[in-house]
Amino acid sequence: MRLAVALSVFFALLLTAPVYAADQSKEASSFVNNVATQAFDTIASKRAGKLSGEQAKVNFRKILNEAFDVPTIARFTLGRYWRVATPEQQKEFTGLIQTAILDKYADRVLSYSGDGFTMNSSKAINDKDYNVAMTIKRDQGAPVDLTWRLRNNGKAFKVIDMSVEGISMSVTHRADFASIIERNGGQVQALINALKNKDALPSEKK
Amino acid sequence: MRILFSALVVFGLVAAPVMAATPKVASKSAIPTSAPAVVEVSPIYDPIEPFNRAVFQFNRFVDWAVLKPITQVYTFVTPEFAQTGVTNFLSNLGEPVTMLNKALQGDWIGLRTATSRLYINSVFGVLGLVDTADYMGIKQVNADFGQTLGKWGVGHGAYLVLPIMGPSSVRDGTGRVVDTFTDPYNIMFMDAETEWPIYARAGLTAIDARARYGDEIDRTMKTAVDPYVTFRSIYAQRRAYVVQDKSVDAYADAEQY
Repeated sequence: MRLAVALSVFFALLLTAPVYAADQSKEASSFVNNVATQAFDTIASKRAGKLSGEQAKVNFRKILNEAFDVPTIARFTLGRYWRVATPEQQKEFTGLIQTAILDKYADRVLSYSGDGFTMNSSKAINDKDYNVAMTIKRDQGAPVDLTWRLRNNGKAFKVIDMSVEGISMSVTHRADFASIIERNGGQVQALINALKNKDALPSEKK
Repeated sequence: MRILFSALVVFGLVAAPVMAATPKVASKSAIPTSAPAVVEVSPIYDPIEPFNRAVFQFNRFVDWAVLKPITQVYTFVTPEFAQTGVTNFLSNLGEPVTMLNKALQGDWIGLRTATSRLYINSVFGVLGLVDTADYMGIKQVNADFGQTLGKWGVGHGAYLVLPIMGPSSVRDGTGRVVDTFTDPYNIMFMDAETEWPIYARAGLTAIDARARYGDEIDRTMKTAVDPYVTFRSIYAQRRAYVVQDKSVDAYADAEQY
């Protein structure tokens, strides 16, 4: 009888524990640590003159493109219009996410005076996603708290969002994109054209 | 005994999937009149959008014509440490309003932090020019009346772009007015019937903010497809974060793909 009670309590507790596949918050944290280390190394090399500005840019963009889950970000930021878009539009839009958005972020971040970073917390949000928080130290200005949202697609971690002080990159872009589509009668093509135009401008140098 | 056993198993079987399926809490309570937590086009109710867009364009013009040039002169002429001094001084002047609002929100720890910072920086930080409290590990916190209203459950009401001051809302705009009248610096000068120090501080605050964030804002303006909507979204997200002390989980009801 007692054994039955003990076993039932054990199983009840087991069943009521959060059902996360396996808590990979440490791996998530390591992933972010790796990407950030590579990024900062590139910045440091550029500052030390070991890498030319162009080379640093190429390296930096590569690091970000490998770490970010471009297809997922594309789907999320297009929101409900993803289903409305044709396969060609979806493909073109996904490509534009990389060139018009991520590459621009890469260039922008490369120009910041970041000194180093410290990892803060890492926790699972659901059974695929993790929020990893870090603080970037800057020689000029207050430190920046950056939160990375990672998704484990079964093979590897990829970044699907970044946020600072509560402001999410993906949410902001989604609102922006939806607005352009709405103001052009629900045409996804209008957004694609607008992004292509932005892409054509020379990216800001610093 | 058997009943207990069955109850526990049933509870376990029911609770587990429920817990696994519950997404992280996304706020719905603080924004009663606007769209649900996951945003589509308008994260914040914007019934006077054409008017707001006009003010937004006006603000961009004033920034280009007045604020940006003045700020460029300011950053060119003023050494780094002095710019930091100005930032610290202005932020110290803002501590009383933070204290009041932390108290109104029942955040006693925040109240203590703001009070300590005001005292330490004013007395040991050369009248606020040096952020001594920060070196001691007492980091800045911010609280304003718009945030207090939000914590009391008041929603934004409607998005408002204020001339010069930029993105706001009916709630936060009201909050700003209350903050202005509860600020001891302002009260003191209004009592003394001398207005110019109040305007001087406001002007300096604008220049200091632009010196710190101007580049970022410029870049966002350039890369956004629709800058007005981009800033509106940023504003709504930021205020939601400030009111709830955590981010809205944007992916909460997005498909898992």
